[in-house]
Amino acid sequence: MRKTKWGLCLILLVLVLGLVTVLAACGDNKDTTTTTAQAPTETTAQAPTETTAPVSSEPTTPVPTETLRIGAILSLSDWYSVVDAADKVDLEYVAQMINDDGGIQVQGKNYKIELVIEDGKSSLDGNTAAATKLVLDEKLSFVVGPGAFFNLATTPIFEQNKVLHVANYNGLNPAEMNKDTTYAFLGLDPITQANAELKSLMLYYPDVKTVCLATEDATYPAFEPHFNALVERLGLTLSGPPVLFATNAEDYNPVASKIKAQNPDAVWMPVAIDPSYFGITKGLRTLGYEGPLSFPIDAPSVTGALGDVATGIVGVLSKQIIDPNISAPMKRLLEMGDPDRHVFGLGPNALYILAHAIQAADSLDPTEVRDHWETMTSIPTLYGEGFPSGSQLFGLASHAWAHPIPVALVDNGQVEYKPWIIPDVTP
Amino acid sequence: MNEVMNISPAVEESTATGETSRTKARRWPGMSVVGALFIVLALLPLGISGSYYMHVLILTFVYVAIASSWRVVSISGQFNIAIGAFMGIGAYAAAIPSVWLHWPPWVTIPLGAVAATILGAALAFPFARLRTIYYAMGTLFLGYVVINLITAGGKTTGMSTGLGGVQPLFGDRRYYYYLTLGLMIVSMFSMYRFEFSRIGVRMKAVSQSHQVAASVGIGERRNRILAVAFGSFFAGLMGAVYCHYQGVASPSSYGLGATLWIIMYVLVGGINSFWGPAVGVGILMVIPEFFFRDLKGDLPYVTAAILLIIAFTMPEGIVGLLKLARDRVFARLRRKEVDLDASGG
Amino acid sequence: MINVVLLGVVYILMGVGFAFILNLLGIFNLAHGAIFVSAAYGCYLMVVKLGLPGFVAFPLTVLAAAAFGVLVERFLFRPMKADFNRTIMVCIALSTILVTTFNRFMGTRALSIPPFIAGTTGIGPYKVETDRILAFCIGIVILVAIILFVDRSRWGARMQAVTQNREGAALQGIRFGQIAAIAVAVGFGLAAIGGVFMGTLYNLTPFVGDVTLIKVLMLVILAGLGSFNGIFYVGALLGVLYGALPVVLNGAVVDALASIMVLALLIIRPRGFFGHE
Repeated sequence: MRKTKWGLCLILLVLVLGLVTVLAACGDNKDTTTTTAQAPTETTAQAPTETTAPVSSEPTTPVPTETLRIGAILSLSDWYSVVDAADKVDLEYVAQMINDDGGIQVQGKNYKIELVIEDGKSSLDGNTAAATKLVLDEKLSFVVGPGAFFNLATTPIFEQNKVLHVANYNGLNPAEMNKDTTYAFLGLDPITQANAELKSLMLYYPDVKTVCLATEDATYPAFEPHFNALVERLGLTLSGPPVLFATNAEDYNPVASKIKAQNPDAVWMPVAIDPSYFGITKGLRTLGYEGPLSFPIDAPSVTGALGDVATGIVGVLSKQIIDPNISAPMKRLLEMGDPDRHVFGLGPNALYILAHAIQAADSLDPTEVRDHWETMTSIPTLYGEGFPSGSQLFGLASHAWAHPIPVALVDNGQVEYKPWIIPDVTP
Repeated sequence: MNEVMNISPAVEESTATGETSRTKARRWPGMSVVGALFIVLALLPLGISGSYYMHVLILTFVYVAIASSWRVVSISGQFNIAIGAFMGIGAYAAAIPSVWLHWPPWVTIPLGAVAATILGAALAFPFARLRTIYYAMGTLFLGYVVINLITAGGKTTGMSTGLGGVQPLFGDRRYYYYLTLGLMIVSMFSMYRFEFSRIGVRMKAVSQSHQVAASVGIGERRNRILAVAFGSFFAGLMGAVYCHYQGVASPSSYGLGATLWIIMYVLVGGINSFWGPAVGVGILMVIPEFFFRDLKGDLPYVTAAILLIIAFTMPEGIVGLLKLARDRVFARLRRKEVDLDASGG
Repeated sequence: MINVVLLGVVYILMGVGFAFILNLLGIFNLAHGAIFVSAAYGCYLMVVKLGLPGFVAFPLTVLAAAAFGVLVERFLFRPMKADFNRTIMVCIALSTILVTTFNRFMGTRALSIPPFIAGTTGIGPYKVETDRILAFCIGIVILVAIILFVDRSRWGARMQAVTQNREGAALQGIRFGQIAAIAVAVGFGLAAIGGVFMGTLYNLTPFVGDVTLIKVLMLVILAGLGSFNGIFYVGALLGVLYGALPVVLNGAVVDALASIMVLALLIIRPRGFFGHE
């Protein structure tokens, strides 16, 4: 009896080990097939030396195609995957979009993008590991991501190895991007997003004079001076001390009642996650607060989660195919998959501008691309024409970029799309 | 049974020399295996220098030391669900002066270790009167409080986003490899000495029955606090090294989730054996990172599957299973020899 | 005010379920948060994808969770023979699998189960969603039912017997396996009720269970092991604490202060308020 049990254990162990090796082999196979599919050409690591070799290609003759491997760090497991799993889909669509147009043209050759995606595991440690893997094992020179505050972990690794990295978004922590991180670029200057929220609020609700700032507490210390300066620049006043909350809270009603106690003309929620926005909106409307609310939205999510409670909302950054003002590349991206999906459009935009920057610099060397990118004054983004912003804020000129921002008004559960707003350049 | 054993010449020899030399003789081959493993690990950077595997191995060394330190606390009968918090105390005690006061790493790392030891001992005081599941729940809560304090610490601790810009120790990853390998060997050696010394025996006595232990003059409280202080020293030390290596400190690395995974390493390896934590880290951390990284979002399934397999088939963990297997093989060999002797004679 | 009380009710439901499993089986059910989230997602799927009305989906979810509890008890908990370490491993594996699954397949949007009854009811100057009042009433009814079940019914008596002395109960002909299955089923069912409430009233992401699990642990520790009644008082206390503190304080400070208070209480009274040996 016991003997058979031990035999079973042994068989199980062997099975598991066999599975491990088979799966590992499969993983390897998959890698090799993707690279072999792209013809036996060399990949990016040696690209710069390759391009120095005499290439005699007329523009009329078929241009040789090669592969450019671009890394991406997305958190595909744990809490931040709520954002990044969606971003991964769009990132792949953007790569496909660029490849369909012939890829990135550098020195007479066409480079198709091959994405190397690593899981950042929603933690700083996980992002360090992912960045290390991309830099050491994959030997990449260009990386997109990560999002949110995870740049804290990855920026030092990329800077040390001279890898050009384009963050989706960041938390304004000096360790993420400062005057010494010359390889760091930023797809969306977060202050311009906040600026668009307030600007559209003032445009559609001109009576608003005081706003209550309600935001997530962890990133607030870094944002504080910039938010205050922004409010001052726009001629508004804060209705009281900022209302801070933790994004892991279950019940936002206490936060809502605190906001209502300040009795502001409007509520401004620049940084949080969907559950917080929805919870606070629900809470405020239940308490009978009637002023407008301004925060970044995805229109179907808002109406889906809040129903009729979704009223008086000035939402920015909602990318919908039915929006008449939508930019051409964004429309194309939406049409590539389920057009109703939630597009966060952060990582994809970073990849889009990176591809254009590489093409403009006409080089695959990250240092040359950086030097050329720093001289640029405009760049195509998924949202239309992008412009540099925040040169004083980050200590780097033309490293952080901004773009037109979609605006939608939500009233009684109905969405009305408005012309996109061009945010002011952050000093 | 004794009669049977005496027939075999090999066993006869060892029983003749007595119990202690037998265990010693048994221990030597084990020790040489460990020694050989350390030598292989020391030479490994020549082959894998500058690859991702090195990063994984550095983390492995850190977690082997931490998981072992948890086991050292557990031999005194304390199921401590705050080990991650002690690691976090070490990390933040090193990171805060490093970031805000620009203290050099050679000062902040010992500072982290000492801070974790002192706080560990101080916090162990009120908990020394809690036993079994009350102790487990109490420490679980203690860990939660520590993480909450870090998250509420404003700009100083970076709150839930974490603290960036911790100064690196070296520019080259290889130095980190040797530093963590060296620290792991030193801490494993001290923990080995600790466990198999008189103090270790006292702790095991306390864990089995505090009343009996007290009756022969072994103070429960003193030994338990000593175990926690000893364990949190290594947790704090490795936590501090870890955060200097990563360049960041974030509460998510030290919270309840992280603590539970450290405990899982020990349980998978085998809580009743000294090498259990090391084996557990090897299984739960190295295998997924080396072979299954491409699964990305599906990776948690692999670790969950490993946990289930171990829980169902190996109640004493992997080392426990190996031990059992070894005993059975020995027993069978002996039986065979008996049969041979019987038929020959 | 009703929010505070309602949150308290949800905590109590979860806490009672957790305590059932802990007291009877000696299992530290770390998968409780995952069950809570799974139930909420299950109910969401039934209402939104299958189009079932809320009044059908709600009991169906609870029954499904209870059935799942029976399966888990039979195939995951029982083979572990109440070994503390092994059950923890199993619970973590279970929780990891459930959370990863929901994250992989449902995770890209923060969801909310549509309300069973739309609209608000006015009590004087204050408006409250009708749904909340309903949830509150259902919660209270279920809690009363649980108290009656434990105190009055034959099964309840058997459970108490097992809690007090397992061998003694076995000698009296009480089958432990049966009791254990019922306890896990009730525990999971209660977690499911809590999950559906949370899903309708607040918002749903796959990781909300972790936060709730901590609160439940806090509740059970404070109430004291082996005590059902304590959970009701302490649950109400925690509901008030978490309802009231955020009004005065900001963000993460709330959690820190509340947890320090609980830790202090724990050190003063290690057995909790209503615990016994």
